[in-house]
Amino acid sequence: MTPDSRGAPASDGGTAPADSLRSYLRQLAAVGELNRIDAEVSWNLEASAVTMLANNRDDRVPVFESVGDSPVPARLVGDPYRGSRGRPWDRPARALGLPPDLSGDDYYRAVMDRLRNPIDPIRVDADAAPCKAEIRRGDDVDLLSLPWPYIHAADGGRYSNLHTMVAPDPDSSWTDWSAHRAMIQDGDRASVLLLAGEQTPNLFYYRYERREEPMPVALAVGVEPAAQFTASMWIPTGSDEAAFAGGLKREPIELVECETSDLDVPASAELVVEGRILPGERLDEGPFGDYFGYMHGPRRSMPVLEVDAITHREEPLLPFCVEGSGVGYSSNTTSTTEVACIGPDATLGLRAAGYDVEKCVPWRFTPRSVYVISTDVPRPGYLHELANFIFTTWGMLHVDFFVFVDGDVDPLSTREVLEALALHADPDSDFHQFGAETMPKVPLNIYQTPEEKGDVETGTSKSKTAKAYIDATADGDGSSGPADPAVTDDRRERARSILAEAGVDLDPGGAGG
Amino acid sequence: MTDLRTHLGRLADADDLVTVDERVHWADTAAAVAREAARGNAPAIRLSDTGGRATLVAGAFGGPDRLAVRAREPWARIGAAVGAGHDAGYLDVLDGLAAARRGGSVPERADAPAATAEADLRSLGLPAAGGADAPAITLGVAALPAAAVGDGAVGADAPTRVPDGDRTAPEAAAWVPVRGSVHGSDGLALSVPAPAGRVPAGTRVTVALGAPPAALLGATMRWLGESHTAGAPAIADALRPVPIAPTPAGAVPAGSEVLVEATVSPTPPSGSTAAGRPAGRPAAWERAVPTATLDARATRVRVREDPLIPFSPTGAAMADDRHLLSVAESARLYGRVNNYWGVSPAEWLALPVEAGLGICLVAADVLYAGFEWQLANTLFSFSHLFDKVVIVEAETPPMDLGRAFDDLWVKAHPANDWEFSDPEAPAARAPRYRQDGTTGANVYVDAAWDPQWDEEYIAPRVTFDATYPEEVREAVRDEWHDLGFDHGPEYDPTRRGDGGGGA
Repeated sequence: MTPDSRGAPASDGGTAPADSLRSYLRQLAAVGELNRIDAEVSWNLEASAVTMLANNRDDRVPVFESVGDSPVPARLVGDPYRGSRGRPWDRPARALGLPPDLSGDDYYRAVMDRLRNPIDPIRVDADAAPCKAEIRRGDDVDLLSLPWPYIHAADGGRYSNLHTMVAPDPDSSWTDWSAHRAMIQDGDRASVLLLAGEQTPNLFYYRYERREEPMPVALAVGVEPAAQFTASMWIPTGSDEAAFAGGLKREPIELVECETSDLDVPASAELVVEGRILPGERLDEGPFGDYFGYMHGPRRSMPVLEVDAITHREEPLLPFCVEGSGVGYSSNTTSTTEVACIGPDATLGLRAAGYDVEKCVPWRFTPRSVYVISTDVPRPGYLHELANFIFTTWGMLHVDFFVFVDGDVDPLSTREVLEALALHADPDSDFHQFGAETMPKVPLNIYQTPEEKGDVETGTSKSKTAKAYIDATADGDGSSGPADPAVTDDRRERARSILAEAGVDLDPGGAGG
Repeated sequence: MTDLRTHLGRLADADDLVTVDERVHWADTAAAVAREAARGNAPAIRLSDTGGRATLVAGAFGGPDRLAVRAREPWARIGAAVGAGHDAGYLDVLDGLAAARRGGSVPERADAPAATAEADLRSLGLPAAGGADAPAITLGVAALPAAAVGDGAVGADAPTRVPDGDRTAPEAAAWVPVRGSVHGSDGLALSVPAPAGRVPAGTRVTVALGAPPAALLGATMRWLGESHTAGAPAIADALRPVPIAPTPAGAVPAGSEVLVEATVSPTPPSGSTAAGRPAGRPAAWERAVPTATLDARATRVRVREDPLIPFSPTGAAMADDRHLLSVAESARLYGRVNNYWGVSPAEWLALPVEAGLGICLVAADVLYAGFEWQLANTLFSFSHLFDKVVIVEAETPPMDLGRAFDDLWVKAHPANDWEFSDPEAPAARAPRYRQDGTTGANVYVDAAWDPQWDEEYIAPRVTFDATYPEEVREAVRDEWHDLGFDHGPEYDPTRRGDGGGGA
């Protein structure tokens, strides 16, 4: 299907979803949110510097049409899924064919509805797969012929960090899609950040490597948005990730078989790196400017990807994320997909597990470290049970904190959450599990010393940490005076109407929309 | 002098004031408009048609939150009010307020207040703000005879009015912040700092509405904390010249928009709340200062031509009263911790309005191992408003709450850097729990680098400046618009041009 030939409205009020990164970028261009830069830009820090400043300034998404010193005429895209400041879900919504002006609540609802209805993928032949326009194998493989960006000046090397890693379970038909950055080592090798505790790393460390077998993988770079978003989600082990991507897209994802393995990858990919992660071999990885906003080090030993083939489109687009720039007020692809993809997915996951939560939303200023859950508290012990369910079953090696707020507090509004934290979380009784250094942690943190992190074989820190939760629900302590009659919905609506009539542009103060 | 009119003129010049001409009735809609405007980070709102004699102003001392990059800072209006400028830096405002606590200037004396036209209380159209079911006073300054406002030792024979010859003597008047409600045609229930609530029946009190902003701040600052300060008129005048004029209760800010002269009653006004408190939710300063209720009967009301009355939707997020207390209490604590150890370790300090004044953020140099404990517990000693302190690196910019609340989670070790006290700490007053005064723990979070760590352990922040060589930075900045981008440095979180929140 020709991506740009479609435009019929979807049933939930949007337009057709983008079925490739290219068609998504055309969507952005159509609404003036894309900046195609024709001037030659270097992959060596320049492209990422431009992208970081665009992220910081909430400016348009850059596409670098002319990248110097690149034998393959590939292009770079800087943080393509970064949402706009204040409404981080607007670009993901557009990519999925949802109206970009949805409120936060409506967006979460729409994404959860789609995830509830997976659609099986379809297989296409190689000649129908755009990612097979160029095929390079054996001696023709050269990672260094592509303009992988050098992202931060102190990084250990050049990276591919916005791809979908496809890896199979050796004992079943299940295939995991996930996101693990790869540092380019030479023409046919990369070191891949695999941290035990996550699904694909566990497959490698505890199945393939213990059997001394290589793990076949494919890095699908620049896949269609629904596939990209799914790779960032916590899809249960054994589930077909491609079907969830199809559900998100409301159309089947087209898959195509790899050239050198029987793995299926999204046919829409801009580029696919096929290879094997080798047992017992390690190469340096890092340091890297990481998602929490700091350079993370020291350099560590990580498993080695040996590349067998590279296939790609004509003039492929290589998307990348300037990690570390998505903290505080600024967004990037990681922080956006946290709020726009992982949040709805986590909310749905908790509900499926029997916890009737309102919403689960990542803290806006800090990707992957703290989540806020709005929920009623139906019984004593509920929050403890909920916290421990999450910490133990979701492989929470990145997330250290959960903050629970009442069901009528909007976790998308940082202000409402801050106020709940300040005024309802009693240090005497509402801060739990702080100080208990018993739980695992990835070394991607800055509060452990290099000695505490160590350099253990499976990637997790040598030392343990605490996983804590804060009960910022009111517990009936909310009395601060008489109920305010100004707070009725009618009054509020009337007041907002008066202000709008006077030309006042109201900002909700958070991302609540 | 900066009276309220001058202040609002400055806000208008800064495009930070919008007039609503549509009828917004004082009784049922004005408070809702104020609340939504505060919640929505709106400019100050002038309500020109409220069904009453006065023009009401919401948000005169409010401001937007710091939870996104905005064109204005939350303290901009207060900066404008005290003469630091609408574009003043946070530290300029703090330094100005901290210095003013010492007083040092004598107010000019006027023969008569600017409010000369007689009026009646009910026709003013005071808004039913903060959940009140009656007209409410929310941003008032009350003057009482200083001799009647002691430390609890004043007897029934205290003077009930200021003698004629002393009525423009600043030391003869005590100024206090006041919130209250109007009952019937002339009944007043007024919440005031506790010493002022113990004056005997018959004492004269003058409530100034629309007082010059410096007087409003001075009256509040005088009662915050236990340390010595100058009298409220002197504090106010040190902020901005505040001429004073005579009333039977003592000198009042001469430029006030409305003056309500009243006499303290032995009994509550009919129709007041059963709890004996003014109707409506408490103002923020009432959580910082022990209060008492003063019942009074209005005897005379005078107004300026086309009077203006600022008000606050008390109890609401981002309300004016929270902003005022945030800045006043932050300045007090900032001044104190920087005058305690012989050095000034605090780069800045804030009780963010966004957090309801229940968290104290302090950006400081951790001078030595354990200093973070000293600093946090000093703050807990100096203020009982909050029970949570977060210490961040000194170079974290004060406008960048985004970075500060990133560091809270990523820099502080959840097992080692969240320090809880024993459960015998006094209950904090801003939070909603333990309002019966039951003791409990407090907590401080050390989100600064451990001074004992080796330099190589210290992770650099990912910022534009720290991440890219100078030639790359310069090229990108210089060619920004040629590259096809639209948003300039004004969009950066720190407005320094990199958006990085410090190096």
